[in-house]
Amino acid sequence: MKIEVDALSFSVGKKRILNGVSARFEGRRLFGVIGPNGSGKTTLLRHLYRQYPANGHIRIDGVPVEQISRRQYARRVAVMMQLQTFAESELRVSEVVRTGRYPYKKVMLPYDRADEAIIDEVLRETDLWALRDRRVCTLSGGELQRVMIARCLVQQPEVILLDEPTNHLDIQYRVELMLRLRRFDGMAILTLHDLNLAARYCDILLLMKEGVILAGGAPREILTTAWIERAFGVHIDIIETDSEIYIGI
Amino acid sequence: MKHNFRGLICPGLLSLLCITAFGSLFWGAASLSSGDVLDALRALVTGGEASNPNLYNLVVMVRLPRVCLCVLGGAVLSVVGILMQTLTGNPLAEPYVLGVSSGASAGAAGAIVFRWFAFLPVGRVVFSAFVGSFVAIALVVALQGRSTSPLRLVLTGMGVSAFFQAATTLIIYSSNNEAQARSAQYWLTGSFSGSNWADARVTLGALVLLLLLCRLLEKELDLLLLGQDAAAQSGMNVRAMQLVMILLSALAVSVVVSVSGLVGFVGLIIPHIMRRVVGTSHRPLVVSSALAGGCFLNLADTIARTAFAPQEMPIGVMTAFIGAPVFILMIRRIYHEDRG
Repeated sequence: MKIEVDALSFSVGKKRILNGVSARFEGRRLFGVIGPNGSGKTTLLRHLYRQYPANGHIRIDGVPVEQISRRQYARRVAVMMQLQTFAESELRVSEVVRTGRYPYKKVMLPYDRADEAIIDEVLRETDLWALRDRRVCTLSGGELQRVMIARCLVQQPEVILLDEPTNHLDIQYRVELMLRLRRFDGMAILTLHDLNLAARYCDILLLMKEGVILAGGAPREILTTAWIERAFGVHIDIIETDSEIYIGI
Repeated sequence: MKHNFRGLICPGLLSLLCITAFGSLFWGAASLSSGDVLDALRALVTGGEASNPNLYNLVVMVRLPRVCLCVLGGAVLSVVGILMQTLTGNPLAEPYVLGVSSGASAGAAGAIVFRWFAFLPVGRVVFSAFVGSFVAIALVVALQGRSTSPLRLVLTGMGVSAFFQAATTLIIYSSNNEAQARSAQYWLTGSFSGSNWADARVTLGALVLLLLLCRLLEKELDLLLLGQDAAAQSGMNVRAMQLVMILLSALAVSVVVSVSGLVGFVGLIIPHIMRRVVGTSHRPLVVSSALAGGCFLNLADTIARTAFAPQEMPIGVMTAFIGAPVFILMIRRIYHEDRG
C-alpha cells in the first residue's frame, strides 16, 4: 500500500492551511505528523480520510482517491474517531465495534456469522471480551480507546488514521495505544502533540509548519534542536542515548 | 440474568398492550356493562347477530376503532421519534417539538379550507399534510446543518413550529365556512374522537412501512448513532440515508396528524424511557418503543375521554402534561452533563 500526496493546497477563506504539501506513505510503518498548532496536521489527515475533496492530489497505489468509492475506500482505510454524539453512550461495546464491518455489507443486508466471528476475534484480541455487553458510557478513557481501536481492526484496513488520539489520555493509556498501533499489521498515520511519544514509537516523522512539511525522516533526524527551534520557535534540549531520544520540556 | 430480563421486555410489553387495549373498551362516556361489550365482541368475532345492534355499533364502530387507532398512532409516533432522534443525533428531536407535526397540520388545514391538491382523487388531506411535514422537517435538518447542539435544534424547531401554527390559524380564520373552520380547528388540538376503521387502516399501513424500513435499515441507523462523519467514513451515503429518513418520518407524521391532529411528546417520552431499558441499538429499541407507545397513547386517550365525561379532553393536553416535564428534565440533564 502506497499513499502519495502531491502538491496539496487548501484554504479556508483567505487563510492558507496547506501550502503545497507532498508526502509519501509506504509500508508497514507508524507515521507521526508533528508540528505546532495550526501547522496543518489535522487538515492533512482530514484530506486523507476524505472529509475534504483532494482534487487529484492524493493517490492510493497510483489511483486518485476520488475514483475509489467511499465503501471501497473504507475497506482499506479506517479512521479512529472519538465518540461524540448523544446516543452512542448508551450503546454496548460489541454494538460499537460491529459498525466497523459496515463497509463490507450491502445496504439493507444484516451482519452475518462471518462478521460476528471477526468481531469476536478482535474483541478477544483487544481484551474487550469481558466488556462486550457493557454500555460504553460506563467505560474508562483507556477502555473506550480500546473500543475505538477494535472498531478499526474489524474493518480489516490496510491503513489506520488517527487524529490526536492521545489527547486527554493518561500516560499508561498513551503507551498502551502506541504499542497496539505498533502491533497492527499495516500502516498507521497519526497526528501527535507529545514529542516524546513520537520519538519513542514512530518510525517516520513529518514535521509541519505553516502548511508545509519542513522535514521528514526517522525520529533521530527530525527531533534535533535545530529543527524543533525552526518549527516551534523555542530552544529545547534533546538528550540522545544509544537507544532513545528524550525531549527535555 | 440481565439478558433474560431483556428478553422478557417485548413479550411483557405486548401482554400489557393487549390487556390495556382490551380493558379500555369497557370505559367510555356511555356506561356499558362488561356483558354488553363482551356480547358485541362475540358477535364481531363469530360473525353472529348481536343482541343489541345499537350497543354493537357503539363498541365495534366507535370504541374499537378508536382503541386500535390510539395504539397504532402511539406506535407510529414513538418510532418516528426514534428516527428523528437518530437523524438529528439529538435525544430532544420529536415531531411536535421540531414543528413537523405543525407542518402537517398546516398542510391538512389547507387541504380542507382551500382545497389544496384538489386534483387528487383520494388522500388529499394526507398528501397535503405530507407536503407540510416534509417542508418542516427538511427545513429543520437544513438549518441545523452538521451542528449537534441540542439547544440550536430545539430553538430551530420552535421557530418552525411557531411559523406553521400561525399558518394553520391563518388558514382557519380565512375560512368563511364555519363547519369547515371548526373541523380545521381540530388540527391544532389533537383528538381521537371520530376515529373510524378507514383511519385505522391507513395508520396501520404507515406503521407496517415504518417497522419494515427500520428493520431493513437497522445497520445504517445504528451506524448513524456514531455521527454523520463516522457514517461517511465507513462508506455510507449519508445524504441519501437522510433523505429516506426524512421522507419516511414526514409520511408517518402526516398520516397520524391527519387522523388525530397534533399529539405531542409521545415520540420524546417513549424512546427516552425505552433507551434506558433496552439500550440504543435500533432493533430492540424500535420494537419495544412501538409497543410501549401504543400502550401509552391508548391509556392517555382512555383518561382523556373518561376523566371529565361526558366532556372530552383533547388528548394533546394529556400527552403535554406528561411530556413537557420530561422534556424540561432532559434539557436540564443535557446541560448538566455539558458542564460536568
